[in-house]
Amino acid sequence: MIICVRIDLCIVKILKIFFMRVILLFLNTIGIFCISCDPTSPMEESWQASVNIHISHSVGAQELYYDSVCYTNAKKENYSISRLQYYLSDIHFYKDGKLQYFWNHTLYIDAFKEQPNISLGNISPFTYDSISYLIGVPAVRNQHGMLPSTYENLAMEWPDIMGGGYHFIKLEGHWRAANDISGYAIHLGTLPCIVQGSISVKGTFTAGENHVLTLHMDINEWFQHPYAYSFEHDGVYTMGDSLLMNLIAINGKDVLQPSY
Amino acid sequence: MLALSCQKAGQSQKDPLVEDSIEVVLTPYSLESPAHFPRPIIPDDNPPYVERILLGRKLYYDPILSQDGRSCASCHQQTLGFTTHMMYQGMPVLPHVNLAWNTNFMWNGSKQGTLEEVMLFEVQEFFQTDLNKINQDKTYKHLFRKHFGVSEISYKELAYALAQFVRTMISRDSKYDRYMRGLATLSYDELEGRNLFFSEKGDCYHCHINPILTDNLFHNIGLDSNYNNMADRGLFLVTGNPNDIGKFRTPNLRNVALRSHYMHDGRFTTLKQVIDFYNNGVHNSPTLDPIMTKPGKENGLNLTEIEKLQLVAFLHTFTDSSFLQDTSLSRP
Repeated sequence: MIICVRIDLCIVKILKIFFMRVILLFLNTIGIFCISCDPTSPMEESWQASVNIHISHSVGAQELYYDSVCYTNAKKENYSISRLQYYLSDIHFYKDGKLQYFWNHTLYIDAFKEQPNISLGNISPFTYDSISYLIGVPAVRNQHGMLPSTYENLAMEWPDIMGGGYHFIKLEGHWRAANDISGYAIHLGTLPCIVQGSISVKGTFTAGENHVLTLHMDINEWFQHPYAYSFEHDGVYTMGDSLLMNLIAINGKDVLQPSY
Repeated sequence: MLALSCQKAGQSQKDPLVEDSIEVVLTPYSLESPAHFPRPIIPDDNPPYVERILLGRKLYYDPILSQDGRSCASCHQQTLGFTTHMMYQGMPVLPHVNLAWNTNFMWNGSKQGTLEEVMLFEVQEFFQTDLNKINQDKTYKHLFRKHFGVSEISYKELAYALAQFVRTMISRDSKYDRYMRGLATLSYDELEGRNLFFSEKGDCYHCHINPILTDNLFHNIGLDSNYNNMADRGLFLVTGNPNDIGKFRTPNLRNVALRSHYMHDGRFTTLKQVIDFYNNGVHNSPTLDPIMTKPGKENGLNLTEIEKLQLVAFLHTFTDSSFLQDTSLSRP
């Protein structure tokens, strides 16, 4: 009887050790699997590139100052900037016309506030020879309430009775008209007037490196190329005027350029 | 799990306002934003609690805060949308409504920051509250000990309690709000007024943004062409920047039809006068907001008399009877 009990105890002990080892092996396997899934693990990082896109602004070669009539447009009109707010959306990278990477989001930018940073995080390395972007809000998000209800987004809403969605850009300020200072307000909205920009620029995002790409907006470009815009002759207020909005939208196609 | 359940049950985390030796039990309060509003601004060191809101409400209606028998409610009357028909120092009293979303306060932005900072100004400078009087009051002594955990009441606790209450003064149920939620129908004139408000013809929406009805920013809307009068200089008096001459904070239009004075100096006494001004009274000046200068509208908005009345009809839909009669905001 005593022996039997001892044999039973031995079997139980052996089974316990066996199951503990199986469990430990199982936990180890899970642990290794989890580590390999972690996108921030050192092992994986070396295979990926990190990219930060910065946005900057100037007016020609001049710094951006608040409401100072110190800038000159292509038509030799002196003007200031008191507001520049816009949305930057859907940045796509191409190589030989083939899409390499896309960032399909919408970012609100106020040129007079701290510039937000677009972090593409850990991405697979790639080479590109052109970048496309939108200034505005693409159709899928250009509806009332599609962007978060922040003060900024609410202030950018385009009234529903005028087509709805959001202002793509608000560029406002003053200009020297004859002997007087007067205002201008360049507002774009509604999908036909979304700015579809593209840049020819070569680059490579290399594995294991942190890259910074600066996209720079020369605000003068809104009034410069291909159409030399005049406040006096073309107009100082674009909202609701599809002809003027289209002129400005076309000028915006190359308003962002890489800066080195 | 245990930690989570502790936090949910009540205030067990360390409150910076509470003295170590005093135990305070508080009930968290959920401040609900109206649909499509941004998140309200609530500082980390003054999260809303039922008991502190009630204490703030008691203070709001209590003349103990002042030296001359006035309380906050003397100039901020609920039946008028928490403002008054009286002027104060030549300016209409701005209503206490939806201030939980504001970062700029007063007509010229002389106060900026959180509601707590503004309320600190109110008790410390505006009312010059006598702290001895407050500390000798047994009820307040007891309530502040119980709900703020302090044995000596300071301006800070007074301001924080007031801010807690003022943050709950939320208008969200005007006829226009209900229309937006599909629960009310606007009349023909109100709808036409809405179309004017949200179109380039009336162009009110650029500053009175939907659904908050203020952008909480500063604009020169062209009331004057010269600024010899100091009171007309607006934000310039705060910043000293010549670009800010004549700029004033966009007032919230909620319950606007109940007011008896409009603009920073109360120069207009009816909504019709306000619309007449926008229609053909705008003065040019170097700081006039660019939105106010439109081609073809140099001579005004060219509204017909009927359109003006339709705009007025729409402005009346911002009256929020629920807010005006909300017993949780009334005198305790």
